[in-house]
Amino acid sequence: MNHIIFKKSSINKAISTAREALSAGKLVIYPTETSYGIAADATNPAAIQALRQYKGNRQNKPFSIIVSSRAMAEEYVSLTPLAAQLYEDSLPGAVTVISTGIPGTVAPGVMSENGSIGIRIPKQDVVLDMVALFGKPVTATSANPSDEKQPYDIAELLKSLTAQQKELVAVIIDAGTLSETLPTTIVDARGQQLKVLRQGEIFFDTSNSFSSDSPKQTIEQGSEIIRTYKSFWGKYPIILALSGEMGAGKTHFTKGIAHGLGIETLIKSPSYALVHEYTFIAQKRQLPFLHVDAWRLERSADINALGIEEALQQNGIVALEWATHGQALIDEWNSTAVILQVTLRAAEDESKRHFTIQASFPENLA
Amino acid sequence: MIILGIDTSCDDTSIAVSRDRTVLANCISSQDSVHQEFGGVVPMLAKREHHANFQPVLMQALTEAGISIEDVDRIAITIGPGLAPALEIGVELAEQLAATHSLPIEPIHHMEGHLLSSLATNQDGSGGLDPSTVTFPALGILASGGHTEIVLISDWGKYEILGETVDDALGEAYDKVARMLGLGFPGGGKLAQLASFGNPRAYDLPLAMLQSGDCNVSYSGIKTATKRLIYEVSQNATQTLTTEQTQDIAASFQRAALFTFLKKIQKVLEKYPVNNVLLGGGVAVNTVFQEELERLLLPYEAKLSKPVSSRLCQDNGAMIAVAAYIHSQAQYHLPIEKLDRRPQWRLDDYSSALDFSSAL
Repeated sequence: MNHIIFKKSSINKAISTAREALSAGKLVIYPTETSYGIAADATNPAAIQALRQYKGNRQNKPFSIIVSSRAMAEEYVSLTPLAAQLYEDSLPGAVTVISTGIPGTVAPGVMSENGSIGIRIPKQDVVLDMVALFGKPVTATSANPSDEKQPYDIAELLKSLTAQQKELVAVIIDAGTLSETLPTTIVDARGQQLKVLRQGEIFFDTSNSFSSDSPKQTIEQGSEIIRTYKSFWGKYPIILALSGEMGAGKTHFTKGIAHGLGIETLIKSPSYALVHEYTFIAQKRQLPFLHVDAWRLERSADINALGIEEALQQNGIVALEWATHGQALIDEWNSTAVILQVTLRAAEDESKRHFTIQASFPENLA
Repeated sequence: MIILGIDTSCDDTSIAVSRDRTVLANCISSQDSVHQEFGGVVPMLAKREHHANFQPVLMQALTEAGISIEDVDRIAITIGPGLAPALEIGVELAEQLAATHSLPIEPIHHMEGHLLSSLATNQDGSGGLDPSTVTFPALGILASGGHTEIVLISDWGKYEILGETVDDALGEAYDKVARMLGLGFPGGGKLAQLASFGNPRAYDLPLAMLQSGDCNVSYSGIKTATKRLIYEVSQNATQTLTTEQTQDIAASFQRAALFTFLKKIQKVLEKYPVNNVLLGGGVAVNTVFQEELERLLLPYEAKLSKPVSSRLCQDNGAMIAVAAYIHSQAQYHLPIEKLDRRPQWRLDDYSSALDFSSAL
């Protein structure tokens, strides 16, 4: 393994050594503005195979790729006007943009099953120069094995690797300890409206609208939405403020939230008990997930007796049904918590539901 | 044995005294108005309110029972499931009381209290199911504002949940539909009264979960369908419902809600031949439910036992005391290192944690 300490004087050596390794189908660890990433030639099936071996357990999850310019991106994906605007406004930067891939341009397993590719242009010259010199895209995945935490320090990363994993890495470009940031924000720019799939470092002002045709779909969407904010689990308190009339699907949506958090217990309505408490795992800690129903609270001050503050102080997650009864609490946490205002509405049609989600973030982030 | 039973699992501070399974006093804060300034329908959920209620309710229970605290042999306390802060204060105060008077303290699962509530007898010793006549397996039917469960009782303390709600509880569905009909909260009881005057076949409401293959029930679909029905019958909420319409909606809702639950109970009866069915929880006072259940049990020759008073169907301390009595008779207890609240606690998890080698 070639461990290069990244300095101004070593930049050319780093880039050329990395290029050689990539051409030989080897893996390269590099710094970005978020965490350390690991590069494999995205067009070489053997290199992608080696990367899968390194990352371990990740089923069929595709790999996002790094390109050095918008022109290079367009060799691999077709850009919608929305995507083109994003490239203009936000790249290079900590955003991964999902577009429709051009078939046959990347190795199997890089493109998702539905034919999309996530593209990233990091704000880190050494990486951009490396990819430009290499002339082909490389993988953008973070350098930690699956199930390990995001790597911000090479020494710490190496400690978590097995001998076999180390064997697969040819070059490390070590830029010291990076400041801990959120991962990239992943956005889907294939349609006419931007869809945030993972909220990370960069914030977009989007109010997402969804609709659901069945309780089952409402559950799936609840699950998908909480996973969008996975980077925040355990780092910041999260409040899901659910409003909507009786029968709008709030409890089903919350079943989905719990499912997304990996909670397997049966989620029942907390109307009577007022609050049901569960635990989920994030940041390698057990954290509280509270399912609160303020429906039968007569006095809004009573909400303070339910242990919500304690859960939020631990960076737990609270799903609050009948959120209008808890507005004071939401206001109080407005500057320190991630707040997802979810409005659910039953359509005329028997089983259809519409909902909108408006996110707000802690002051030190947004 | 004189047992002081305490339950603060949710809104009420409940303290009762029993001699074995005979209820000498069964006091409930919201019912007995010991603290009028806090009284009424407001949930007593703040810690300080349970705290303020505790001593007056305790005094009233002892007075009604005609005993002093020195006569008490043990304290039985609900440690879960329920509202965490409410449970916490109950556990704390019960522990202090036990320490002051050097009394043993027995932790009880709230739903075991409801499950065994039909064993309680009146003050004169009348009524109540005699535990020595129960054959196993027996069946427990629990339905209240917070729970809907079908429980297999293979022995005292040995419980398995065969079916339960996957969303709203039966009593909760009653209360929510009651509010939609403008009957206030909690209006489940009023709704049931209105239903008795209505035509249960006036409107068709969906019968959820019949094809699910398991013994679980769901009420969120019926609740939503009833909401839509009210909207339609009131001409898109432009007209006030007539008394007859309200009664018919109430009756149709009740029919749909009870039908699915009864079907699932029947499914269990097909599989497990039982002689005894123990009914507990707030919905146990619903006479239509009782009658339908009696009718269902007839061909299976199973005996339905229900609590002797409506107070025993609510959250109350007497059922906790009676559960502690059964613990002592059947020689089992919950081994714990430290008395602590368990807000999220399934009856079957409690059951498998019990130690059947001795009483406390």
